[in-house]
Amino acid sequence: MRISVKRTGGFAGLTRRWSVEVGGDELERDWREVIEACPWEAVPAQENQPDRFIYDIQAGERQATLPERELTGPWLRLVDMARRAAGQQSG
Amino acid sequence: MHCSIVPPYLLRRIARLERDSLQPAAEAARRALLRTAGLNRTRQAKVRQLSAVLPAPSVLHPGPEPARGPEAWAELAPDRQINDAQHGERLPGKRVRSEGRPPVADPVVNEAYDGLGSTFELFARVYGRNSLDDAGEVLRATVHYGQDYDNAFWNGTRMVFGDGDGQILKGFTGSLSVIGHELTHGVVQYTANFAYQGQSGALNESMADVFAVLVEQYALRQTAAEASWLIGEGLFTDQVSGVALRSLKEPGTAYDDDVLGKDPQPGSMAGYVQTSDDNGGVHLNSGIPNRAFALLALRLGGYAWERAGLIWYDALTGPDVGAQTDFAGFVRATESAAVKRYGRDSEEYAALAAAWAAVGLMD
Ligand SMILES: [Zn+2]
Repeated sequence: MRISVKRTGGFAGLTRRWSVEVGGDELERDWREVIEACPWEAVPAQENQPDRFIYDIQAGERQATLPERELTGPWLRLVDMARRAAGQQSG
Repeated sequence: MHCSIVPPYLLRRIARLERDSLQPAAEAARRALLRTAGLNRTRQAKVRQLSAVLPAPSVLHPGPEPARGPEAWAELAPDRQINDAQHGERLPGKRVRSEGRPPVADPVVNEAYDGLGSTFELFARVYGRNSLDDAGEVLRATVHYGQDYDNAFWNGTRMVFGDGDGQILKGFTGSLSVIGHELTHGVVQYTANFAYQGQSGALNESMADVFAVLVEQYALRQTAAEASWLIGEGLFTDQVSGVALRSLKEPGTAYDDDVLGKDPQPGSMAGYVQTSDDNGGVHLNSGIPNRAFALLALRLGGYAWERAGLIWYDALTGPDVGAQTDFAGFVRATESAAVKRYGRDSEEYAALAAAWAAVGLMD
């Protein structure tokens, strides 16, 4: 499964991407629980604060766009895991 | 944005009708009303008084210089509070410096304190504006936010600065234009309150950039021709090929780096970016009104905060703009501001029309 995070906005307006391909065993062992814990269908529509980031998060077929303020709990864990894993895979 | 839910026009109306019966109102509503009432009472009179008499700018370095300027604005003084998040994400963080206190050991705290002062100076001495709300609101900043946090933002009541990631971006208090930018988001919140999405969001961004460069130019007493017109100069680390984050004069030219790519800002409507990223490209399409302002100021010459800045300030704080104003609506607001202040046959109005035409926003 491909898990990817695109971060846009921010004062600098620089887009950052982190993406990782996760195989079956690893998916079940490390990722499934946090992916299921994210409320994919219940993302609040909220106006963003000026210059805060926006996160576009994808796990397989599922997708959600969150303002930075909503990046808490399982969302934050998922993004942190993706960033760390992407860092390891690319270098 | 943490703004008033009641639209400004409604607040203004209530303020007019009920200024004498505010006591029972809820505290939040009362504050919002007083801000607006303060705006109504003082702004028009103050800006009308603005004439050729411009004070020498003073950057508020440790031990602020006595304020000089038109009599009516001399009493305006900032009230600053700097807090330290100590690399956490809880706001506001620990208070580390308050108004009138001497510099502390941490240079980041002092940069924020001085930058708030320079921003207050521009709005107070040039436009007669008493802080963000024109009613003397405390200027609040939190530094050292988060771990390797490569951003600065406005949360509705305070500016928040990260220290950068050290790889691409350095600490955000290092550029006065960043501080001016974030505080101007506060001014916008109390005035036009442009919704942070699409074209109105790009206008919100553009106001923040325009007054940010004016804060710098005023502090350095630079003419339009002398100024860099850059936002975030010196924020990139040595590993990045770029001079700054944005250029108002030449959008799209601030950086060109093999990792970050090229500065994606358009400088005219021909390059307008349709995207769902970044609240609809608010940091991209802001390049279009940014360049119109720079062109106007360069065409008029002299100090950009004078004639060009006044037209922009009048438009931003005037009756013709609101949360859903788009580019065309802002063009009309600047036109009516220029006509009111200088007349339809004026050099200023002609230069304004030429500037909007150059970015593709004039029929
Ligand atoms: Zn901004």
